[in-house]
Amino acid sequence: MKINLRVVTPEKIAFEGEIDQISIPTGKGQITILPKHISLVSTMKHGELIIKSDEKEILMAVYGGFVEIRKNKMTVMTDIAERMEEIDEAKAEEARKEAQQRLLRKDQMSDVAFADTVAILEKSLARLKVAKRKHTRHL
Amino acid sequence: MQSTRYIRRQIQSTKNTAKITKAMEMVSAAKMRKSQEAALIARPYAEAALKLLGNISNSVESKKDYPLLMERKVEKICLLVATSDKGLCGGLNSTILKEAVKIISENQDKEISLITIGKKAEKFFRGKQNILAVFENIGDTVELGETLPISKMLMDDFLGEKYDRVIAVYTNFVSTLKQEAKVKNLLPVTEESFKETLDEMGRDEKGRTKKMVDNTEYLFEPSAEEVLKYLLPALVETQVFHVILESNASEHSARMVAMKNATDNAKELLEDLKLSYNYARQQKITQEMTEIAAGVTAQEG
Repeated sequence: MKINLRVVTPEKIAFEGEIDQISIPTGKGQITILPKHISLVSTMKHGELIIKSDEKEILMAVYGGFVEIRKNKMTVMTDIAERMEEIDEAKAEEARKEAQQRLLRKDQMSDVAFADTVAILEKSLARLKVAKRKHTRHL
Repeated sequence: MQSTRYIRRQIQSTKNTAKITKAMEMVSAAKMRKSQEAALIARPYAEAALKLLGNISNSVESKKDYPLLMERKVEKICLLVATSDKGLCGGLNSTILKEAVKIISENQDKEISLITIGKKAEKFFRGKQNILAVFENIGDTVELGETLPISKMLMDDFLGEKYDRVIAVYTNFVSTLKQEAKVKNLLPVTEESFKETLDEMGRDEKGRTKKMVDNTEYLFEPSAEEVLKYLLPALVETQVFHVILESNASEHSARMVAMKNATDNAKELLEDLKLSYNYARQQKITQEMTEIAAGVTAQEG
């Protein structure tokens, strides 16, 4: 028994296929879904998707969205989904530093700029979290 | 009779123009394919989101708590007019602008403000209408992130009751040869308008729209209300993104067709010019021969 998974973003289908299990960062915390899970709809935070299928592991950075599971069919809707291999770690690190620097001067920022910077920070953190795994794994 | 030199110069300049229009045609063709692909690829996400909306609205009891869904008495309208930045694309922009003007004149008793996408719309309405915001230079390969400021502004202002309805006017890409002006309600969010968007993105593989609502009981985390609160903005964002993608695909195919016509016309013109060039050249030769013959006759005589 497997789960039929689709990871979709407005720009592409990032993943499609049969998998054994998946861990997702929901609004309430990380959960792992196994086949025969109850029908579920949940919000998703930024973080990492860990997809396991046939002993293989696929890691993706996702940024917000929704998860829907129904009868072993699962759809992950997110704004951005990047595979570990696609992530440019140096760039993400740079973006994180830049965002943190800017947040230090937050009293001079407008609400919108503040929200934008926090969003950039969260995004780069999600990317970095996934990218860091590269070093502990052989691909 | 025009001199041969003059005609030769004309031929050369027509040739050059044809070369340019041909090149533009090729560029537009490539861009068109890309933007068509982008429009298609956005579909699975939109489909999944709409399905979710259908399922959730069954589970959420009162819609009153969601201002994005609320129909208000319409007194202030915001028009989102999407045109291209550049010209040379046939009647594309004028069709859109005409449609927008029609809506404005139909709603004269209401307060109308505009948000323009593309330089052409801004140029046309500047000074005539109240323009709230101008978005320009949205790239040929647009990413969702680039359209988020637009959807964010629309939603914020709608919730802040700056306007009671948002109507988008844009070109819908039907086929390479056919693009039509399209008017769509963006806000408040209704299932109908979203279904329409989905239809425009193309039907599913089986050629029909799937049944969107089923009776599965879902477990909602944290709660149906909370999920809906996040889902609605995502739906609006997708729709705005879609408006831009459609406009982009339309712009490129319209330009491609316009440039193809221009190239064809230039070729036709070249044929005509060549004819008159040869005619003029022959006439000149005949005239010279007559002159020589006349000279010879005069000497012999």
